[in-house]
Amino acid sequence: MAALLEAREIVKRFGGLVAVNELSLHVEPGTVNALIGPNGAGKSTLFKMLSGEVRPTSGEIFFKGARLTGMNATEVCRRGISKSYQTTQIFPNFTVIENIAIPALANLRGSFRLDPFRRMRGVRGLADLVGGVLRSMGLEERAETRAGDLAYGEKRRLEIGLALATRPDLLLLDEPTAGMSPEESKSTVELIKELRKNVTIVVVEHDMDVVFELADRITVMHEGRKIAEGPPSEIRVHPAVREAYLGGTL
Amino acid sequence: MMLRAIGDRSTWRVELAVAVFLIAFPWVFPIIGGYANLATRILILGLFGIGMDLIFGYTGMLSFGQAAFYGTGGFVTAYLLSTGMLHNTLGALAAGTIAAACCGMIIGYLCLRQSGVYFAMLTLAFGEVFYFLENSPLAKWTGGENGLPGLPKPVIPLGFTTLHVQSNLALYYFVAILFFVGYWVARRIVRSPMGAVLRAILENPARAAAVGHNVPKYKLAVFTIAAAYAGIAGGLLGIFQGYMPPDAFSIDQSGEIIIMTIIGGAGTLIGPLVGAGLWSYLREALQNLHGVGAFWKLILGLLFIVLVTLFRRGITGGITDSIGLFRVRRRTAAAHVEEAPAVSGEVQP
Repeated sequence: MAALLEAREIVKRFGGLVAVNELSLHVEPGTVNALIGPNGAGKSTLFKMLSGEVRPTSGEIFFKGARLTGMNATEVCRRGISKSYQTTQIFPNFTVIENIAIPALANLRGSFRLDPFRRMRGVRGLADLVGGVLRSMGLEERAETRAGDLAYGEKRRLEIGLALATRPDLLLLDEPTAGMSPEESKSTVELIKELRKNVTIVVVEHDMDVVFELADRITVMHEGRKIAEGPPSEIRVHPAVREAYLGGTL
Repeated sequence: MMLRAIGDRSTWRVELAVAVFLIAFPWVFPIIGGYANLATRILILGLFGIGMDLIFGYTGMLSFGQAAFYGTGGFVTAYLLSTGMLHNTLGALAAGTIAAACCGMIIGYLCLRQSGVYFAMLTLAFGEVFYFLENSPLAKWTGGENGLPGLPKPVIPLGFTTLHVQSNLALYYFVAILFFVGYWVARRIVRSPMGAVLRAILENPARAAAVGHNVPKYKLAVFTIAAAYAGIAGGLLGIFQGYMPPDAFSIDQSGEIIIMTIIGGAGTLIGPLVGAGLWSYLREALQNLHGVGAFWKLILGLLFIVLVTLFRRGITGGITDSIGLFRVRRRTAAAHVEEAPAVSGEVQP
């Protein structure tokens, strides 16, 4: 099958440090792909290159067959890749519904439009899109709450909701369950399982239970390199992975 | 489900209240020692401040160079009217406003390559450049240090008749009408989808960009709009005084409009008018007070410190927040009464 996203030997150097070293990635449509590795393995840097926040030192990224390398985050988002952040990046003084409206407006109006005399209700499809995202994130009850006042788990769901409201073809989730209680983590996994019906997902995650439950394919990184790749059953028993990362604890 | 304008739930009642205030102001103001010309001056600064508020209070860009556009609008308007090239006051105002907006677009394009403090410093530098240009190389047209005198009273051809605005009160209402239009337009802007994006840029610019909004373009657009507001206000200043002063371009002018916006309440649109009113009225009152007059700047400075410390969103913000708080308390109190049984039912397993 043709890849939705393809990274070819991308490298990112920060001064003398090679954060990501000649890494290639192949993401097929409709799949959930997990990216694991110890701290400092380069997962977040790789994510930032895929989302357009950081420009690779060398290598190429292709999305839906078109070259993505060199585009900024706004352009990458317009092409259909959206990222939910590890540290929550919401609009704290907006209500939940207003938060979701911001990415929805980008999706419905384009990246720039001079419409100072249009009213919010004049944006066709806005209420439907925002309502749909609220429902799938389970935040309907909290629609009128100020985002800064949400509970931690709710903020994390809103964070994913912001990415989702851009209607991406590829959703990048950076540690979606970080800092969550086991119950919250469990409900987030259920939520991601629902999302995967409509969108391709790449997820960075530290919780191995979450990874093995969700992923169709796992990529293991260590010191900027890809050391293993395959379905969960293979990764679980992969000797190099056990040594480098799992420490034989599985 | 309702999707209202972001951060602003108020309706046409606000416009109505502002209109009533504008009509009544010159009649009520004399009670505390004000007069029509002071009221007009306050409205002009309030209009200038609406632009400042759009960039600062709604988008989070602090410009120290707004006087450049105030001066540009003022001098273009004054030049056209004082030389007799144009007799229609509104036409000259429109020309001044367009000139200021064009300058705003160019300066904005150059300054917006930076953000935060560096953006502020660039606007400061351009403000100084414009002051210098007015004073020296362009003195042939601007009158240099002397400014441009001899602006006629407003003449407005309406087709069937021509209005001649003569008295101070008539001049006040001429400015008040333009202020109201400017205020109404700004209200539409901040309540539009574009306004929602501007507020998102204020709240979290990186995320606004990451979800697909072209942040630099929106910033340039609102900077240009703010320059247009400064331009029309500058034009009105010249028409109102019959004379266009060179210090409209000064750094003091840029600083004052920031102070007025902040003490009045940034992010409220009406705040700059409140700030301008307080500032201008106290200046007059203090200067005329025996034994205090010499210290008016000191007193205003202390007042500025107290207001900024007490009200993070200025006077207007302080007032609307307390009204909002009152409403929320009432609502939550009601909600507690209604939901009490359901909550206790949940607690018991």
